[in-house]
Amino acid sequence: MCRRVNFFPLLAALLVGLMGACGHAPEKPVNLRLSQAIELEQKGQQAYRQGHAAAAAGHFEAALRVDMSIENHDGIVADRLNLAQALDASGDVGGARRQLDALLSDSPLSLSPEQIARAKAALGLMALKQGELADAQRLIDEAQQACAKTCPSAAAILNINARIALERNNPSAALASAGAALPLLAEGSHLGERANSLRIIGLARLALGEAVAALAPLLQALALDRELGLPERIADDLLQLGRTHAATGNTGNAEYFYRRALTVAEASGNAALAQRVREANKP
Amino acid sequence: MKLFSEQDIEARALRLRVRLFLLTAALIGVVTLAAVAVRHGVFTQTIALSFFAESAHEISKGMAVKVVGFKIGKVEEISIEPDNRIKVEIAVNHNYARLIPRDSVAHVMKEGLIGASIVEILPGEDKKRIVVDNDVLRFERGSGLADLAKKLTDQVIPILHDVKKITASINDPQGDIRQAVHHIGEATVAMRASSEELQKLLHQSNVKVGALGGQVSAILDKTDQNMALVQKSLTTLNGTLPGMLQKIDGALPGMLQKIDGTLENARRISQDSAEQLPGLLRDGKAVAGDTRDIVAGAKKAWPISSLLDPAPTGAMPLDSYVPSR
Repeated sequence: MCRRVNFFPLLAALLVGLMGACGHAPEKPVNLRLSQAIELEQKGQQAYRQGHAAAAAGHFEAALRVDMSIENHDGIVADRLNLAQALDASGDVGGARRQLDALLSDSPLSLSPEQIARAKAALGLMALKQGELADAQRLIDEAQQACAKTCPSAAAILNINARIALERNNPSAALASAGAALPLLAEGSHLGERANSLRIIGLARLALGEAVAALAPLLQALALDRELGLPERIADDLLQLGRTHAATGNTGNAEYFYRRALTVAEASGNAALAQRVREANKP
Repeated sequence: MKLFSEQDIEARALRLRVRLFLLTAALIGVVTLAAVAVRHGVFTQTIALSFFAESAHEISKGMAVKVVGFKIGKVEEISIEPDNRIKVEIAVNHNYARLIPRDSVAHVMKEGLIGASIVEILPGEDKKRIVVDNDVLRFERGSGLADLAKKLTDQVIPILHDVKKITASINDPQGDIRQAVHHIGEATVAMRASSEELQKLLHQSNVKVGALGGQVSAILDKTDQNMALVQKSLTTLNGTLPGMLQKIDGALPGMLQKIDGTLENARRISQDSAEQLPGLLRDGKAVAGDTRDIVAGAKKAWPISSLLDPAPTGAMPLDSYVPSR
């Protein structure tokens, strides 16, 4: 005897599923100013990723004004952090520092430890770029105190710490710090920060006189930077590979990487970087 | 037992009808969703092209992209570059990319005089080099109604002014043309007097040199005849010229009035255009705004929302990069 299949419940379930899929939750009341701030912030991030730091700073500044006008505290924090990063990238270090100082001194915002760590690390990075190593170390130590190992900026803070150690001629400490950053960066994500770790590891190995061991991390950093399409860092990686090959005595390979670095630097229109490559290639 | 059996049959028929109804409804739902998805180009493979314009005027997201009047894509993104140029990114149906050589030119123009703005791609000459993903096209802005009206006004008004000046000069008794005609009249009178003088002289010569022979006399006779013809022509001209001048005098005021009227009409057309154009542009902007809202709404709706990457918000991740020394 054949058992009859009852399709009714199946069809009913299908219809209910379709209706559920087509419908959606009732809309929240529309906050047009908030939408405008979010749109400006997204435009800023897009411009920053495309390498237009000055344009990005303009968008973040506009977003900040809108967020301040509606007292959107989360937005204000994000806008000031983003604005500082864009201003720093466009060469306005003073403006970037003012944004971060304003953020850290703005008590009503009551920043989370992660946000404090992020702001202090950004200030430390700027101090490092300016050659103010003592200030940079102090700020990075404060950032590390505020940031637990799971904090989103933990790996970047370790990398900045490694970079400070490298500048202080302490490659062993740099190797340890950048090596500690790598496991915090999930495979397949944070590609830029992974490349930063690998580049520092390569530079630390080179400084320790282990030029052959420096090649692998530098080549990995180059592959990641090429994947991200960052001309300045690609040229930087190629330059370091040229120096590393020169240190191993392989002048042919060294010239090959210097040539590639020069081509990338010139094509990206970065005259300062191109000059650095030419100086490195001088006999 | 029979009663139960009849009820069972009825119930079975009812179940069958209900199932049919539900099945039909489900099918209609699925077909509608599929049609909406196809209509919005969810399954259409596209390639991304872009061009740079000096202004975003009349360019908006979602605007149709056409080749020879046939829609092949739409404007996906408009962004401002650091050098203040406008980058317009367009998505073109992959199947129609072969119609667009790399030397093609993108134009922003209106469909008809006051129609919607579109991006029209004029295919280039080099048919062997077809665009690929992320290619950049050259851009030229087409003429809008306002530009056309302005160009027409700019070209017609100087011509009408010149015509007015010429006719005023013709009408002016001290003007060059009237003076020239007057001088022609005076010259005609002088020529008539000269002719009479010459005839007298010839007559006297005829008397004095009559002895020179028949040949000379014949030549002089012929000359005399020719001079008579000249005199006749001059007389005719003298009789016609005053009439012509009178006619011109009579017609000139009317012509000047007509030219004045034409200039006034041109001015009114320009004024009307100037008054109506901002309204038309406002309406166009409103329509573009509505379209943008609709597209933004559609982006949030399922299933389109699931196909789009969420835009990043919040603070960007800290980047520890420091250029190597």
